[in-house]
Amino acid sequence: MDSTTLYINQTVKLKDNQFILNNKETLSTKEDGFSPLGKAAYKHLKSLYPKYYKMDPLCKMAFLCSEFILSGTELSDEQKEKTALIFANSSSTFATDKKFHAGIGEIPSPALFVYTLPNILIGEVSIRNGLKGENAFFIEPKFNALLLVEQISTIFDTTDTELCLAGWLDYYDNTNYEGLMILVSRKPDNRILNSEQLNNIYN
Amino acid sequence: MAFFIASNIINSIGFDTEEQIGNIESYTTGITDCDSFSGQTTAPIATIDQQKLNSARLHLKETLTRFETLSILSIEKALNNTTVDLNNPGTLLILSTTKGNIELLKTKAPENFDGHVYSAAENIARHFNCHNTPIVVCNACISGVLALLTAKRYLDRGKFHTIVAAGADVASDFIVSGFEAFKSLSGVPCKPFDKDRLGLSLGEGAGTIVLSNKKPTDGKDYIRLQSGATANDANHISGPSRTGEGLFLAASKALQGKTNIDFISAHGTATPYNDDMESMALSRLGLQSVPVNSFKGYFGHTLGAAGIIETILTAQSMLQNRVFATLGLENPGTIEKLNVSNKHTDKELNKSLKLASGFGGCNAAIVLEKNG
Repeated sequence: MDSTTLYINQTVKLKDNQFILNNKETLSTKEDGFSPLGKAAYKHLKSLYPKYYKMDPLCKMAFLCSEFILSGTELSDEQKEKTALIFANSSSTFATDKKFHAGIGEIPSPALFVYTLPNILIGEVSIRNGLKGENAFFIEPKFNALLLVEQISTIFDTTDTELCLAGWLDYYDNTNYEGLMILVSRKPDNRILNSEQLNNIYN
Repeated sequence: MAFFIASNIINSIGFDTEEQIGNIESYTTGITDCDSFSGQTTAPIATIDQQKLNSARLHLKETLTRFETLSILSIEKALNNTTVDLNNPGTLLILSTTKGNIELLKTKAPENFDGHVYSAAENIARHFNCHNTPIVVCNACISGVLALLTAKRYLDRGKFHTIVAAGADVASDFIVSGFEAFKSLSGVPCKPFDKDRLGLSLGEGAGTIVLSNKKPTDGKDYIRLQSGATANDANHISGPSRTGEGLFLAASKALQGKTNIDFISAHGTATPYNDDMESMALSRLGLQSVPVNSFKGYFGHTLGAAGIIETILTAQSMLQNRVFATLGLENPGTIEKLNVSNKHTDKELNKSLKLASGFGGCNAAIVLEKNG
């Protein structure tokens, strides 16, 4: 089992109406809530990705975080096949579940139903960037750095994974949301991937 | 190393593996007309007999939801055949589900909603006095296979010696109306790989496999989870890649260059797209002549439980050297020809491939080996 050190190459935090890229506040809004922040971020990133508008808030959060991390990065086809995506949250897709549930009596929407699975956020980021590596989504009562570190380490040790996008993305409603996304690889960097480091970044 | 040491299945055709096999042998399906969801669909659904469930759960003292009851019963029944105690620090429970207690949205106001998946996991863990917090895999229809793969990966890390992987999902207005909205439900019991297949049949169920890092020493044949992988199509969030890209990649990685596979348990949901996609992936892998089946004609698509239930049946197939029929199949009709049959046949099976695919473009594949 190859246990070479893994490094956190990039981080994006989504908290208190701010996007914080690698510890530097990158974007913020005065207005409270993810909706205005998301709109501002999408404009700022100039993603030009029409599918964005179909996404539910959880997927938008994931998309935007991944755009901050990956824009400007050119990945080869081989790297795309070896990029894993590992995520967790506590809410699963609660906000969208409530919306879908409310529509059951009338005309349930297939466009909404598809977003009632948390791993769809992995799908959206995969489609956007052509990423075909390992996938995993877990539900935890709160942010669990150890779970993420163990899952990421295992994936690197036991598969041909070269890059990993991972994190915690929770969305309960417009004013109750938070996110942390990291990019991990064997490329040496200041921050080593371990629970302590990840907890520091999260807190 | 990850060896299967015990298992259990609860679904519309039985409350244990023996009952399952009995109904499979007699070509019996649990997919039937269902009044409970007549408001959402006219499609038949494979529900679990409520009276049977009520008598099976008489000994459970706590107030539990249907989802929690099924999960606990399945885990209990699997553990009954072992000396495994989840209170032991070297053990771990891994749960797999797509929507858990989502039906609680009907009875609880959103602000009082206690149906979050992690709450259900806590309730289940409390029942077994689990030493370690359970891990919950929630990755659409590959959840069950991913839970098993996660179990193997954790056993290989050496942190645990025994892992219980349990998957469950219950039928609910939420799930039924969702698939109905997608128009993916078949008006008749599903017909995997059939040229006239109309869609999937939903089913509820629970499946449990107890995995150990120690090879069984009772002299009987045993099954080992040898390898596995997942991969994303990176193509569409609700439809599979037309070229079976993700499934091809996952299976390639799981097979590690070896193609001496004797049997394939496909995802085989009987939707027009899925079955075509699987035939393409298998053809690309050079496995189109290997006997392949879908178990979903017997008890429907059990979502979070599917990967576990169908892996148990794959293991049983290997232990009995029997390829079970694809129930519902009359005339094969997939883009690439497959070696499918609607009759049970005997065949020596030493190595099998289990496949799964799900919304979000996710795909998973695991390889099982007998006495390896």
